[in-house]
Amino acid sequence: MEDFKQYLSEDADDRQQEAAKQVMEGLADLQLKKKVAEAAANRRILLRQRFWRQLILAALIVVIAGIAFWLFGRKEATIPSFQIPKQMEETNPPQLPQTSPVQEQAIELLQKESIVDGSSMSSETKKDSLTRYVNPKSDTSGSQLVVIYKPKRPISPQEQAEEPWIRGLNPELDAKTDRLINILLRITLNNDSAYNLKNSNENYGWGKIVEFLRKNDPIEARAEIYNFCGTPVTDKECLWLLAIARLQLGHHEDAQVIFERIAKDPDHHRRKEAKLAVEALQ
Amino acid sequence: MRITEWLLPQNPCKRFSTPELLFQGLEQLDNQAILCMQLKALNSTRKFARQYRLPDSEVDDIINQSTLIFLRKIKEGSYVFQGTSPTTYLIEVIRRVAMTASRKVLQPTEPIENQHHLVSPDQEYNQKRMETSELVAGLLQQLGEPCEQVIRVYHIDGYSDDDAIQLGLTRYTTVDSLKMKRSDCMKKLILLAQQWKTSNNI
Repeated sequence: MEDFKQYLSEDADDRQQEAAKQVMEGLADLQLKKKVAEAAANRRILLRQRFWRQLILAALIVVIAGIAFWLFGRKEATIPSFQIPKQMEETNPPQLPQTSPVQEQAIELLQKESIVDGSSMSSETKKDSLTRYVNPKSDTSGSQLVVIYKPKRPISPQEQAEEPWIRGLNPELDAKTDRLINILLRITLNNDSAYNLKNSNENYGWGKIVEFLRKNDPIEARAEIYNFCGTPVTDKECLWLLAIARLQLGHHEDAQVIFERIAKDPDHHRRKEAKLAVEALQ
Repeated sequence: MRITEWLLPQNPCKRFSTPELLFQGLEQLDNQAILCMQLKALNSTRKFARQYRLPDSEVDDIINQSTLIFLRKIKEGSYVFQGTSPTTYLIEVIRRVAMTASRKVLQPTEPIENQHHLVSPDQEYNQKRMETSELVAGLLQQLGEPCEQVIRVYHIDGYSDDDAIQLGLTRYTTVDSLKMKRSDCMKKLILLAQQWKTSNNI
């Protein structure tokens, strides 16, 4: 290289020096071009990495959100299942307890006493208004059974708030169906904010239908469904209410058919609950 | 590439925390310095491309062309570092290049020859430099191997003679023999350039 520089400074004429300058400029420019091309390649790699990283990060967030939604969605979906009665029983005023043989005898005695006393109160009413205590030390044969009546405790504010949702027992239905209807009605009201807003009117629409169902008046409820929703019933919520009404009418098979139809509808908002209702009816 | 490198990529601007460091990197034609400056100017380039109604595909070309112009200015000494970020200067170059590109895209109804005010002296100079580099690249090809390789390794790729020997980038095994060969090749290249000038009456 030194030889070349010496050649340029000593031996080369003006034309050669000019050509050499042009060559050196060209080579310097080629070097810059190469550097810029390398930087451009690096930039493209970096931007591509950044793009994929953002994409993967977004996908991860979506997957995590999906899993969370699925998990919590499942959890919520299990609430209306038949584990709910436990919660309901905690919040509801005490209902008819499970009747053991001893308590059955006590109820019989109560009936007899109501006749002797001339009381007009039926045993069912007494069941609701009184809490019964059976003396465990007493003889369980029946003749010496001592039943103590104790006034019912006052209703708490929470229970008062819950009061509107409580439905009276329908004597024409079996206990299991009655309990199932109670649960379904509670699901209807608890799981749908719509009932707390535009359909809260007890004299119109879904609110009115639910009111009839709560009053154990399935015939009126059904008539209102046909009146409000039209025939054939296509509205999803009306279909759900019709199934409950049919259950209340004692038409278990018809109710089951509607619940099955709801359960098979992937767009129905009460699909999971309907599936559980079908299982309960089976 | 390791997953950690992928997840936590290197920040090209990490080494160039101050404008002075960045300028020094650019003077030495450090790839990371060039990349850092380009990344800093990328958003502005996109903004200018939108402003001058240029397609997104032009953004890469504009930033490359502007970087080349800026690096030339640094090499020639026409850009003097005054404490401000070199990126600011690059952004101004980008704006001008984008404006020129938009003129090419939006053809005026009057012929360009009649609009001398649209052609800036910078533009003419850059065009001349481009032509020169293309000419030299062509002459290098004419030289053929091993001259082309010997000149390219030193003058274009920027390897020192020691590195070229150690990495075995040429067929020469000693620094002296490599220098001698390059000197001969440079003489041939200048001769070719002189012949080209004579044949084209320049």
